Amino acid sequence: MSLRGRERAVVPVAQVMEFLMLACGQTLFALQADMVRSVIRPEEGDAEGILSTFGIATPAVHLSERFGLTGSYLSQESRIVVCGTQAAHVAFRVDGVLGLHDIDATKIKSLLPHFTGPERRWIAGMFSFQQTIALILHTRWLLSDDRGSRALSSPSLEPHGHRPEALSPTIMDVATDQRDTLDWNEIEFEEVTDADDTPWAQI
Amino acid sequence: MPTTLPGLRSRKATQDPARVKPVMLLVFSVGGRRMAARASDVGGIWPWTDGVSIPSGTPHISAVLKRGEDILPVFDLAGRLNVQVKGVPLLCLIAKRKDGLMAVCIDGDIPTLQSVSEASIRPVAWKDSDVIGTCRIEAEELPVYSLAHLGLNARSLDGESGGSHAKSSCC
Repeated sequence: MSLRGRERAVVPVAQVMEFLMLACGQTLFALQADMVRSVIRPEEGDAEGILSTFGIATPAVHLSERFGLTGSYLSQESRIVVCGTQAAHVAFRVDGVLGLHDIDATKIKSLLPHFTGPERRWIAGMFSFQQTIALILHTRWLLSDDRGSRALSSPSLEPHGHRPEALSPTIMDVATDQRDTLDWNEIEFEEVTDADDTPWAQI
Repeated sequence: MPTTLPGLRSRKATQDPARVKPVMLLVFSVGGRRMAARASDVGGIWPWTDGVSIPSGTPHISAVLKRGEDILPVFDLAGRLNVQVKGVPLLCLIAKRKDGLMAVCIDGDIPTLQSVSEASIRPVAWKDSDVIGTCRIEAEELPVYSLAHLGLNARSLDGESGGSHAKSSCC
């Protein structure tokens, strides 16, 4: 029998999040995978019938139109994505679906503070994906009726301005809540008056 | 022998040492308009790479670009000035805005450094403008932009006027 003391080791567990990667024009969006209910080809015979099984009676608009922009309906890789919770479902159209992608939650960055408009309600965060950047959609906003030019005309710093009571927060929403409740320290840059040794160019 | 009356002695002009201290300005151009900014507000100049569009309601910030592990917002200064950037390849100026670094696409002309005295920067207070002063450099009166506050003074979607100096230098 060993008399050596035993220490309990704590191994940090990385929280991996799974996203469905969506193309919308040149921009990539990431939708929390556990919110996705179905991906439908628009030309499928009974797309409307499939949508109606989710209680969706209106045609799926392009994701760009949710941002008040114009969406293209010409992509041959276009798909209709159905997402939601038990309480509500929503369908929207994208230019393509790239598949599922796992990412360590610590690699997700919050939307930069320079963005102060309604996009703070739309985008929960971002992460590097292949050679570009993917934007994480705020699922709670997607399921709300906050959309289009109305959303653009009502800039807000509050990311959770339209919270339908019936919707329970998703993992990403909880993570965003925790992030947004942190105390932020404003960093003041030092005013440099003598710029002799200031690096200015790194061509 | 010339003398001066009591109390009327010539007085040597004394200037505030801070005002004669040299300041390094970076002179660059956007859409052919030459302008300047304090070099201390510049984080670097890189070759321009296209960013990723973001649906945004924030005036003049609707893209981000990836630089290594960092993600920087892109400020559309050319759009704010209602001009189009010129020259190939374009350059990316890193502005040290007070809330974080920001990428700005500028003309392909290589920027130059100019040492001027603080006093030579004449303050201006143009409404809804990022211009904090003007400075005469090489017989040209250039607007001096505050990169630390770029875009923070004007929240409207209207184009930056840039004042008469900026307009006169437009090609």
